[in-house]
Order: sequence, then C-alpha cells, then structure tokens
Amino acid sequence: MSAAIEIAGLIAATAMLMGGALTALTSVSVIKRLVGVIVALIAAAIATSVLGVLSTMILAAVAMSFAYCAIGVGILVRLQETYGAGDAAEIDATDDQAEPGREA
Amino acid sequence: MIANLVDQARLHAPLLVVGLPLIGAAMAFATPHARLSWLFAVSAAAGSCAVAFDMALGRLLLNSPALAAQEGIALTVEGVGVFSAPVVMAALALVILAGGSFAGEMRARTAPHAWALSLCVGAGWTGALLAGDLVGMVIAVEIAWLASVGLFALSGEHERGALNGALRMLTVGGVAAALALLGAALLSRGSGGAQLAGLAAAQISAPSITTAGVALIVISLAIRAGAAPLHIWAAAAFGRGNALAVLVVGVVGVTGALAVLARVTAFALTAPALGSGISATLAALGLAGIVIASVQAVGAVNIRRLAAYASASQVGGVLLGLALGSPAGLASALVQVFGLAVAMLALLGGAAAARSNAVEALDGLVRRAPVASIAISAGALSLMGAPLTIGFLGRWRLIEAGLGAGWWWAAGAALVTSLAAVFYGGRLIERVFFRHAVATVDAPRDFWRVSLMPLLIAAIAAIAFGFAPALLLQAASNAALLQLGHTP
Repeated sequence: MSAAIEIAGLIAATAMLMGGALTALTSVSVIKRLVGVIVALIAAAIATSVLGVLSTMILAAVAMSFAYCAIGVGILVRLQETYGAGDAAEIDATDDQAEPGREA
Repeated sequence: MIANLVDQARLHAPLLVVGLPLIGAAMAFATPHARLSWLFAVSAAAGSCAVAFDMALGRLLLNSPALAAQEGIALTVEGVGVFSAPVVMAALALVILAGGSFAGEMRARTAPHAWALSLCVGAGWTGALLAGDLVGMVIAVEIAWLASVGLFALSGEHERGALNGALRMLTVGGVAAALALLGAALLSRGSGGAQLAGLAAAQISAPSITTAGVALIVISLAIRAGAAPLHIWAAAAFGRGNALAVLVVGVVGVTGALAVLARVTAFALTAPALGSGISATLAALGLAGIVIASVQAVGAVNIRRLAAYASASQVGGVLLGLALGSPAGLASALVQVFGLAVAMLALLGGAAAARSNAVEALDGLVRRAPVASIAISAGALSLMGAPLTIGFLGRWRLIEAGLGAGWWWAAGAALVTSLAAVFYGGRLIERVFFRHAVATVDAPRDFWRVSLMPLLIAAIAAIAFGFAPALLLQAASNAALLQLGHTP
C-alpha cells in the first residue's frame, strides 16, 4: 500500500475513532452512546488493518467489537425495561435522586 | 510423586495463576446451587493465589532461576507481573470469600454468575500481567473489563442505578479499548514487533509513532485504573453497584489495571527513544490526578464515591513513581499499588458492613461493628500516609525517589495527597468513633456475615505491614530491578 494511501487511511480511521468516542461520551441518547462505541472499535480495527500489523490484532479488534455490541445491547434492553427512558440525562437524574448521600 | 507434581506446577505457574480462576469460573457458572458455586469460586481463587505467592517468593525473595514452559500459551514472568499477580489474586480470594456475606442480597439464580464473573476479572488482569505479547495483553484486559461490566449489570437486579453504572463503564471502556487497539497497532508498527519485552532493544524506526502508541495504551489503562481526570466511570459505578461488584472492581480491577500500566511503562521507559515522552505523559496525568481527585474526595458524601475519588488520588501518586523511570521510582510505585489495594479492601469492606452508602451511616459504627470500624480507620490512616502504615511507606519511597531524581515537585505532590487525605479520611474516623448514630440499617442476623471477617482482618494486618516492611520492600525493590533488566 503506498505511503500516501496508508497515511490517508490512518487519518480517516483516527477521525472516525475520535468521532465515535465523542458520540459515546457525550450523546444524550444511550443508544447513540453504544453506537459511538461500536464505531470507535470498528475504526480501531480499520486502523490496525491499514497499519499492516499482525492479523491476530485485527481479529481481536473485530471480536472486541462484537463483544461490546452484545453486552451493550443487553444492558440497553434492561435499561429500557427498568427506566422506560432512553435519555442518559433523565436516567442520571433519576439515579441521583435515589442515591444515598446524593450528589449533583 | 508429590515433589514431581510440585515441580510441574512451578514450571507452569504462570498458566496455573491464569487458568485456575478460569476453570473455577466455569465450574461456578455451571453449579446451580449458590453456596456450592461460591465454594468453587473461593477454592479456585485461593489456589491461584497460592501458586502466585509461591512464584513470587521464589523469584523475588529466594532468587530462584526463572522457570518457564517453552510450549503453549505465551506467558512470561517479569518483575512487575510476579510482584503484582499475588496481590491481585489475594485480593480476589478475600473479596470472593467476603462475598459469602453478601450472597443473601443476590438472587440464588444469579449468584453463580456473579462468582464466575468475579473470577474472570481476576483471570483477566493476571493474564494481562503475564502475557508475552501486546495482543494477549489487550485481550486479557478486555476480558477483565467486560466481566466487570457484567458484574455491575448483574447487581442492577436490586439497585437499578447499577445498570446505569454498567453502561457508563461499557461506553468509557469501549473508548479505552479502541484507544488501546490503535496504540497497540502503532506500537507494533513503529517498533517492528508485538513483543513488549523486546521494546528496549528494538530498532525503533519511527519514534514518534511508537511513543504515540505507548501513550494511547497508557491512557487506556489509566482510564481502567480510574485515574483522574479520566475517571468519569468510577464514581457513578461505585456509588450505585452492590458491595461485591464495588469490591471486585474497586480493589481487584484498579490494582490489576495499575499493575499492567506499571508493566507497560517499565518496558517503554527503558527504550531510549520513548522514555522522555512517556515520562512526561505519566507525570502530567499523575499531577492532574492528585489535584483533581483530592478536591473531589474532600467534597464526597457517599462512602463509595469517596473511595473512588480517594483511589484516583492515590493512583496519581503511583503514576508519579512510574514517571521517574528509575528502579527506585518503580519500586515506590509497586509499594503504593500494594498500599492502595489493602486500603481499598479495608475501606470498602468496612463500608459494606455498614450496609449503607451514605457517610452518615458511619456515625457510631464502632458500637455496632468494631472490626469494620477498625478496618475503615486503618484504611483512612493508610490513605493519609500516617506513620507505621503501609501507605506511609509508599509515600515515603515516592518522596525519596523524587528527591533523588531532583523532582522536588513530585515530593510536594505526595504531601498534597496526604494533606487532602487527612480531610476526607479524618472525616470518616471522626464519624465512626465520635458520633452517635441517628438511624441505623439493620444488618441481617446471618451466620454468613462472618465470611467478611477474613477480608477485614487481612486488610488491617496488611496495613500494619508498616511496622515490619522489610520483606515487602525487598520484594518490590527486586521486582523493579528485574523488570528494568538489572540483577537483584
């Protein structure tokens, strides 16, 4: 792979990773947070592929993406059943009210 | 024949340390009876702990030659790993044993899952400590982290806030995993290989890429260790999870993450092309962590959140020790890791006995639960760095190493940690001994409450290591020398 394509691919993957991370950490919707995590992990897998490192590392990245997706979906379903809401701020506010020694 | 078996066990010690908890997890998961499942879990953790201690004794104190099987899974025995693995597994064994007193709070159907996940957390972190290459280390870290998330999600049965905490751990952990993968790929590309041990001697063709890779891995591990200001998951998770989940993650998880961080940075700091960049990253993180987390801990009104912030503050001190890059700095970091583990065991274990998360629940605790009160006080004193506690030794070693390297500001930061701990730790001691309870939470009169005792007594005893620290200090010093390629 030529150096220019490699650099472009790495920059794109890094940007995708940062975008996914930002969505995961700041989005109001809990579903979008999980999507952000998956996007970040996929971007990391793409970056490992572009860098031409061990195939085991790429496989590990893919496996981790699946694992986070599966566990995340399970937690989201339970959250929806328990809170009946998909807004992270609403859920945080509900928990802060109920927590002993509640903090802001 | 027994001698032969023992020799074989010693040859395969790293595999047994990682494998026994995983086998125990499978057995615990497959056993429908909650108490029997708990027994399997305790046995597996205790067995792994025994093997890890034997490995550490031989390698660090008796100077036995390194034995390692030449076939099978690539596991290596290095200084930090051989020192930290027994600490992690001992903490796990004590926490699972203490879990017998919390088992009544879990549904009988889900208790086996909780024991299995707890064992997976321990196996994951020790696997990361002993992994021979980057891929193995990254995978082991994710096993530990996802098991921790599962543990918090399970505790959402009784306390729905734990589900929110689990989601936060998952999202932050997922970002950290992505950073770790990118970092591992950059490191592998820049150094020409995925073996950590070969980093010092590697022909690093692209120092900036390799430094960026190591920095990303360091940041990822710092997130898992709950280092401020990257600890956005810790307080929310700690404040809402059940006692078992908080103990497993707060003690085993944080200790494991810190130890793995120490291992990675020890390799990186010995590589001439990478040392200064990584040292600067660690120093900045450590200093920021001490200041931010200390302020947060002073204002906390929930015991477990206070423990999370206090832990983050102590983690800052560990990062400063690692940043020094010297055998003395690494040894001080290892002593601090040990001190943090036992202080958190004491604090969180004692808080579990109070049966409430509010700081007000500690009022007059000495009349209701004297052993738990002593544990909380010992933990708080150790966090303060009070003389004759293990916390004092770790802080002192950091100051010595800092002054030796001309880092006067590191010594100042260590003092700031202690001063802040006087405020938040002193508040706990004052409530426990000098206030009267307004309202109490009645603890169930249950025989199994005694299973919390070994954890509390062990934590108190370990904190009192400050009276006779020679063995611990020698082990830490030898571990640091071994890790950095010197002869003890």
